[in-house]
Amino acid sequence: MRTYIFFISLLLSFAGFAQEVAIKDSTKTHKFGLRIGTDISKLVKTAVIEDYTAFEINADYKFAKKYSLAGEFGNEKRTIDETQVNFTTKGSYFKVGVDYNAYENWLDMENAIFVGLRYGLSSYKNTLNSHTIFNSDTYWNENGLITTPIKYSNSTTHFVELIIGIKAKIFNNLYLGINAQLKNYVANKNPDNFTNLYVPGFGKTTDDSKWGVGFGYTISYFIPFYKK
Amino acid sequence: MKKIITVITFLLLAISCEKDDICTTANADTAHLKIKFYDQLDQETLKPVTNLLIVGIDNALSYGIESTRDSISIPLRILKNNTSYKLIKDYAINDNATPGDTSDDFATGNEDVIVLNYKNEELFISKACGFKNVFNDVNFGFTDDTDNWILSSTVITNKIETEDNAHVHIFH
Repeated sequence: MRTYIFFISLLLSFAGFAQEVAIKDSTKTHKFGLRIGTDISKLVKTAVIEDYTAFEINADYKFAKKYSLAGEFGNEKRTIDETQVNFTTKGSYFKVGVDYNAYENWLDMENAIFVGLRYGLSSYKNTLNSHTIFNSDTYWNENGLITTPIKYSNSTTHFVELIIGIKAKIFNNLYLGINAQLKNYVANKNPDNFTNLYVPGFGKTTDDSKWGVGFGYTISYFIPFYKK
Repeated sequence: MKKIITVITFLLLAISCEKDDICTTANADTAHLKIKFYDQLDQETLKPVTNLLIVGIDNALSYGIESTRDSISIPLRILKNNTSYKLIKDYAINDNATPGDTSDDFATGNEDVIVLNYKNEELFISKACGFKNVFNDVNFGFTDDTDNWILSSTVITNKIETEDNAHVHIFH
């Protein structure tokens, strides 16, 4: 819990700081358009981490001076080995919401220091690859390791997400971004006799909290539609 | 810009601290069979069994000797649908009048065999604890012989999930 309080206080100081750097200039022109990209960290983790595959497309459409419609769509497959259970979670998610850009750009650049809110929906399947029945008495010498996989029915999780980050132009219309996400699930359907321990797009869940965290490094391309 | 990078670095550090899940749930472990011993004549009164040796059938080891206990907790097999135990009352070693020579020693006591039949069910507890085994439709019996010390028994619950209360009462 202390981690989250720390997180939120940082968030607040961040928002306050963002206000500071804003330069009042209402006469400049704004470019409106679609920025589309992918999460590099997911690609890197797919290449580096065994038993992990993920891909995400993200997009934001600037419809007002400070607001964008934003969303992410992705697939994730992850195998987690805990002491008592080894399981694989595989599925898709989408997130949709609005970003507020607190950064006042010079000229017609489209850099962003943003705070956003998302609604997320994740649909996925759990497979229990192996598990150990908790039986601490060793008298019968039955360690209780079961290696027959169990496939569970579909799971769905609805969540809300607070996202903060920056997107900076590196050249032409190409942007690099970094963001951090704090999520809380609002509805979660567990399979019979199992619990959703990992949720694509949400992350790991813990026994006693509804919170999830994540981060992303994005690379995206801005397609300008019109200037105003 | 530097400030922003500092803030974001802190943020990423903060979220990378992950809570380790430790199994602390009560009753997460597979329960033992808990038997209480009562007096056959006065069935409300506990009556300890003297020098009780517990040996699992098909197990080379004994589970232990309880000198004078009015209840025992013994493990049931989780990979089979039945478990049998020899409960030997008044267990003792007779040295055959040669205390210095152990080769001709023999064991004495009244041996009764108890048999449990059940259906195993795996119950999910949590990520940290995993699954436990629950024994359903528990059936308890003891084998008749010429001098049973167990006179009768009652199954209190046919579902063994926790060890809070006795599952079987034995009268003797």
